Amino acid sequence: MRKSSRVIISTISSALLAASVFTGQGIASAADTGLAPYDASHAGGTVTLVAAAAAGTLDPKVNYTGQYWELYQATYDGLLGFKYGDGKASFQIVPDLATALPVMSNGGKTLTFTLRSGIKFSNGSPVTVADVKASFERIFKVNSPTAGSFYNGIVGADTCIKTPATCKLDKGVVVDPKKNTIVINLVAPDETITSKLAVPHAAINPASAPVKDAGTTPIPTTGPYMFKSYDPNKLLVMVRNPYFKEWSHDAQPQGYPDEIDYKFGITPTAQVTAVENNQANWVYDPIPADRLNEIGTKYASQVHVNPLTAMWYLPMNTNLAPFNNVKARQAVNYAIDRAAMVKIFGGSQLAAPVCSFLPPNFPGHVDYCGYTKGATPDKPATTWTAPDLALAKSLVKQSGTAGQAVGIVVSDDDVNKQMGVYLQSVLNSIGYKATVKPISGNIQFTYIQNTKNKVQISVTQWYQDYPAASDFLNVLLGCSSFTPNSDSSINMAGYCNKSFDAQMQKAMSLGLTNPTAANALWGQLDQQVMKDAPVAVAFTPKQLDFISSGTKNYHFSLQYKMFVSQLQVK
Amino acid sequence: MAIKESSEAIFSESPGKIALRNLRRDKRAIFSLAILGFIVAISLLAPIYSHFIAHTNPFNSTLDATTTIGGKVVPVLQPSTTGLGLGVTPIGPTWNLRGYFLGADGQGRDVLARLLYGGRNTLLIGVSAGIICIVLALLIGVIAGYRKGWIDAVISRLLYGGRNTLLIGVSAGIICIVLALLIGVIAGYRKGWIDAVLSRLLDVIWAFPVYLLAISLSVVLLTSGLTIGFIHLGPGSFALPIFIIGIVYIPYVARPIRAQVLALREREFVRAAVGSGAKDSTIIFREILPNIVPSVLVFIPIIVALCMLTESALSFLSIGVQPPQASWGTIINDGLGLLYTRPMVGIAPGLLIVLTAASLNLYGDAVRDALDPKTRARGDA
Repeated sequence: MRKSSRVIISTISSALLAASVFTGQGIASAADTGLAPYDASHAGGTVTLVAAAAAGTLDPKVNYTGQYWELYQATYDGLLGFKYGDGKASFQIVPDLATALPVMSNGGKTLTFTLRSGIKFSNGSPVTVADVKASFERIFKVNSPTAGSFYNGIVGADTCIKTPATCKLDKGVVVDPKKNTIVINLVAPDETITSKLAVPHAAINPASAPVKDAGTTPIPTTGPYMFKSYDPNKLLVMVRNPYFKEWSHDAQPQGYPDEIDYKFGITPTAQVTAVENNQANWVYDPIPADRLNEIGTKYASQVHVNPLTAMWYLPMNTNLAPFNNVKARQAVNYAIDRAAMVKIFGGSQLAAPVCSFLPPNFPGHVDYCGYTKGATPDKPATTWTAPDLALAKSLVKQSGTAGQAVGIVVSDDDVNKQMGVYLQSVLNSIGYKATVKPISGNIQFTYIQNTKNKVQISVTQWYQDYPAASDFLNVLLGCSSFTPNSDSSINMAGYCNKSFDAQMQKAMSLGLTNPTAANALWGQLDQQVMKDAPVAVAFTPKQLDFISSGTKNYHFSLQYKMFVSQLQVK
Repeated sequence: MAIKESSEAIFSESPGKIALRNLRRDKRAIFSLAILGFIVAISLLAPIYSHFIAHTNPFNSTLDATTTIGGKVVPVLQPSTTGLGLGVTPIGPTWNLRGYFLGADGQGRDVLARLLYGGRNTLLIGVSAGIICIVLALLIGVIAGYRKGWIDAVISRLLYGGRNTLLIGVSAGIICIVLALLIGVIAGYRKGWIDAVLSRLLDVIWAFPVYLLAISLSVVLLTSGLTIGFIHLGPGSFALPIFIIGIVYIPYVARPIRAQVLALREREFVRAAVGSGAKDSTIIFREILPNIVPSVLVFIPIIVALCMLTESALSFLSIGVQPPQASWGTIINDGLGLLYTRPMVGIAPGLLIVLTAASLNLYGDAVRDALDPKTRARGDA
């Protein structure tokens, strides 16, 4: 997913968690631990966050942006949640509104939960099992963006997807008000269902919540904060939920600030200045390139750099000339100077060149690079060292595509445009006639997915939904992810290889019983698919957070990034 | 006797010669022409500087390039070595013509080389668009003003209505009427400095749609290009911004020309020509056009300056000259992201734009004074 338009969602089963090896490396990254006990002496004050723009609807069932999911962790709760902790501890799934992790039965197709008693929404009404059932039905009624991908396995979901307005999950979500239990029935076992129940789209809202996108109207919350007011052009205000009492320090700890103000319409450079001057506590947008050295030297103690499982890559349309020719795609892979692209991104402290599809430290990742000087996809090196322009030119010549026009579609922000201009220079140098087409960042991500737009090559990013190889390989290169003429065709390369698809299905099935073997198979599939080179992977980025000198208790979650509610300003 | 001869010599000169002589004596004209000449000359020398002096290709990204400073080879894009080592900063001005005189941009390209090439493109587009604008405006203005009647009505509506329909619309129309009424009543009633201030304010408001129209056209045409019959202008073609900018300024020239022609049409010598049975074309070319040439000559430098500024604005917004080509506008855009560390990337093209536009305007003033000494006399008074 793209960082700006979608969120870093990591859904991981306990088995996969054991297999993942996030190192937590970074300049100021914290250890992989849980949070310290609440210290009431630091409670109070107002945390001010600043951003260039708001992130759209406030409805937790509809919003699919990292910007607001970072806030939802302190406002909404599901039956399950991700643990408040640093590093890989944040991937642990813990009971939230449920009293315990679900009891699995019926071969993994039935999950039984007991709802905690005594929890109230921010409007004062108690949380009941009826609210739970209504919340799951609301996922479909409001056409949540993950309704068809995350929750389509619930019994009755297929009908709800077809006719959302009359969605009833009487067989899929069975509740018992007397016992305070919820039984979720699935049509088939799903190794990632617990993770899917822990993300904000599965948050429990009052049954009275509107059955349409609530837009700028806040929906009552269960967490330590509630939304008081929202003007997408100016300000989002969060205040303490008067009915909140901490029930699980791991799932939903008490917050420190009395109020959290999110100000919009402030340019990234003004955001940096505001934090430097202690007029704001945190910058949302990427730090402008010409301010990086300044904050890295003068404000080093206020900078936090953390690893991300993500990639910047170049999808090439395998159904459109010149990239319907595998040699042309391989040529691009050989030609791009990944170190140069890292420079444009901000330097080696903020990104690292990669060739493999699965990011470093990711389940299934294998250190290999088939597209570096002196290597081939059949005889890969372990790391990328340098581009091979001579080989790239030769491949273009062999492909018979030299001289063809190539349009590069990029987002219109500074870094993406610079990437586009660089790529244009590279493509021109290997024999194409390239043009850069910067389009608004609001639409670029969907524009490059739609085959109607005849995009040949683009620059985009993918941030993990959950740390499993299927989230990269199957989601981005599976046949089922390619939908011609649709804005929701995340397989932007249009790559569909039935044999490869079958092997991915095998790896996913293997993951239910033997995650280690499954990850080994994913590693092989990574190398296999890159021989076809439907994309060119450029580098893996890191997350940089810049906070004011008066802001303390910074914690970074690999799941949701910074814990806003844990920032201390007193 | 000597005085009499001199007077006869002066009176025997044509108006054109008198204007030329006035222009040659005008220090402003000479000064502005010298600056313009210098800018044009260095812009034309761009390839010589790039290929033979700096040995660089300003259109290729060279992120791994190096240069020599004080006998030491240094990278053009320099990774931070202090603090946390965050960021990569392009090299600043070396003040050495052999390379990176004004430093590098974010792609490792020589800023001076791009500045010179950018100047060529900016001037080319500015002058070409200006010529298109003047020629078409002249045509439309003369026809509309001379023919009057339905042709005038249609062309006038096209000139104003096209923009109005696209840009002002219903809501803007209401706001415009309310504000115009308010300002008009206050200005007309109070006169004096209030009138002057409000009139300038109206000028500013009037300027707003030009950019909006230019931006709208650019956004649409730059995605797919423009095809008119057998003529196709590709999305990256220079002809596109020339065409767009040339079109949007037509009303600004056509309107005063039309007004002038309307007045000329009622003059005795035109009536006499009409009375003698002269053809319309004869009257236009022999009687009308020669009388509006001075106005057109005054318009040329001003419109070229306006077109150049508009081109720079569009290119700054990424909807004018397309990469890897450069114009002063695109270079300012490149410099925007380097404002804190390498301000010269943005400042240098900005200064050149100011210098060129100011020179053109200064020259325009001088031309006006040379062609119409009465104007200067009024101004001096």
